[in-house]
Amino acid sequence: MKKYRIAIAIVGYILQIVLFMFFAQRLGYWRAIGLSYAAIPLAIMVFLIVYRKSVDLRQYSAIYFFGTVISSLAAGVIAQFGLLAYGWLLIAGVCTGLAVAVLIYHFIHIAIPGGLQDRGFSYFLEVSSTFFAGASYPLMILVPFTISYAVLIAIVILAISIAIGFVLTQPFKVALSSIADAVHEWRTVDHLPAIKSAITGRFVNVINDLLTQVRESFKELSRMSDDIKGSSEDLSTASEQMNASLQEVSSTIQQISHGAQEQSSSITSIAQSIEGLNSLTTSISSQVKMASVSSRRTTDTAKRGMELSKQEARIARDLFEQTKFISEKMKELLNQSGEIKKILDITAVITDQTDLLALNAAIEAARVGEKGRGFAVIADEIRNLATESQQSSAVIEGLIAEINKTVQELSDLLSSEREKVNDANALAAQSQEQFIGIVKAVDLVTDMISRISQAATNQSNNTRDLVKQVEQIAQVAADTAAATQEVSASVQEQTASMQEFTSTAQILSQFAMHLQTLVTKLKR
Amino acid sequence: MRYFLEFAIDRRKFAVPIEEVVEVARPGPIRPRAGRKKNIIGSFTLRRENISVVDLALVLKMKGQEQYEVMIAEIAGRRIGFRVDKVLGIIEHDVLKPVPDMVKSHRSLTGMIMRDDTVIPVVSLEKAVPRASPSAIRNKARTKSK
Repeated sequence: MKKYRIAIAIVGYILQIVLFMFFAQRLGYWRAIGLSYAAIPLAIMVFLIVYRKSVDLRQYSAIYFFGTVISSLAAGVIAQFGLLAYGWLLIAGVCTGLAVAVLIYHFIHIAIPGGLQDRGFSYFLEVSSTFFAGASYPLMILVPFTISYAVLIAIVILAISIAIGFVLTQPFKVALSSIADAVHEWRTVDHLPAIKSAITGRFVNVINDLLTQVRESFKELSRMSDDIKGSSEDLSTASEQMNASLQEVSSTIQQISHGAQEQSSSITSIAQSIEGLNSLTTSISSQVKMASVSSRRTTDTAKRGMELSKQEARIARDLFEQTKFISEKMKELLNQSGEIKKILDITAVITDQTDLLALNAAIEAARVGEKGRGFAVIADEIRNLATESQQSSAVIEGLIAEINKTVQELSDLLSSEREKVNDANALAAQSQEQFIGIVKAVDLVTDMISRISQAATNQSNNTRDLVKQVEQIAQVAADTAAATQEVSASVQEQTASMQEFTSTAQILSQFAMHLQTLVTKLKR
Repeated sequence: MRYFLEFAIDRRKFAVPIEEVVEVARPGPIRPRAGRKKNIIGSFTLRRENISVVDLALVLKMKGQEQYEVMIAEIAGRRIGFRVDKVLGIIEHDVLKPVPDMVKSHRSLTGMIMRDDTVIPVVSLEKAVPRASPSAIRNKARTKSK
């Protein structure tokens, strides 16, 4: 509607310029005045459009009126002084128009804003300025007055124009006032005493129809406002409840989100711990394998030791038997030596007796004298033999004694060796038993290590599976935490929306109450 | 040429004329006899005969060894044993030198034999026997004859 008005105004002024240019060409040098006159409203329009971004018809009407008056007076003054150059007139006109436009604009907005609110005053200005322009142009163009006359004529024309505008716009003003009062009192316009024309009657009828429709609409609006009020109250209550629920849900989801985050961090920590456990288990498994290898080596070594111990025991037993045999043989040898000694003793006795007998025989032979000499020689030989025999027996006895001594020493040595061998045999048997015990123990340890290794391997596999599962759980927990956070954020947004919705519902309820009050007022 | 029976006491050699010796015995332990006379140390039994034993070491004022042999002589019809350490054997020698004056106090020594630069005193067993009264000897002989 505003653009429509602007377009109408622009078209009107263009027509006005064209018309005035026609007169200016017909009349010669006064066309500059026409241009300046046309430039004033044009500059005002441009200023309002560019600076205010909008234009009001009432403002424009005021500008048009005052601009026309002032520019006409200025043109008359300029013409009177004979400054007829085209360029100077153009510049002066434009500048004058712009200055006046600014002054008028501020005057309208500062000095008489309330007065311009009245549409009737706007029409008055429009009509008065039109009459003033129509009357002043020909006078100022065609008649070369002096300044005092020109001003006087302008003032007279202005007064006449104002009077004409007042006369012409007064009925409209009265009619509009009546209509405004009717509308304000929410009733139909029964009659217009000042103006009873077909146009106003039709206008009043239209207004009455409009008011009737509006009244019906207000009834409907009242009913709807009641409904809206109820609904809005219900909606407000429901939204508050929902808001509370959403806040609880939001709090719960935040707790869930917090729990999910803690769970995710805990699961991550568990995963790290299980990974540590996995590495530890792997290390244990490797250590157990090394221990198994060492245990097998120990078993082999112990078995070899046991075999060596068996061999040693066997050798010791053989040696023991041999020493026993040698000892027995030596005993026999000693016994035989004893027998030999006995024989030698007997031999010694015999030899001694023989020696004694031979000696006595020799003595006997010597006592006989020369006759017994031969016998004495024989006796002496016998005695010598006996003596040699004694010496040989002594030597043999000495040798046998040496042999016996050596045999006895050997026997003692063998006895000692036998004891040592016996001890060695006992030690070998004990060592063998210990080796057997070691082998059994190491076998048991090896078996246990094998079981431990198997268990460690199984545990390592289980731990790896557990790590994978925990990682999956951690991923799920992280996803859950993220999703929960998203849900929480979404619920918070929903809560905020619901709060906004609640406030909107409350505003709507208030608005419905206000509307109801307003409708109630309008119904009166 | 004369024959002597050589014997040793305390590692010193002595000799006795072979005529004085009947035989040599190696008896068992010598039984000590109470109231014995000087130098008679005891007796022993030889072929059921009790024989008194004179210790020649004591006679010659020497110290005898533990081992001993007994030379048996027959003196005045009685067999008497003489204990020596060892009977060495029979020697024969021509010259019997007289006993020096300085050892004449030993009435049992009757001469000396020089053999291999060794002086071997010759002992008379009869003189070595302790002196006994002739009556006692006769009584003993009588008893023996009975």
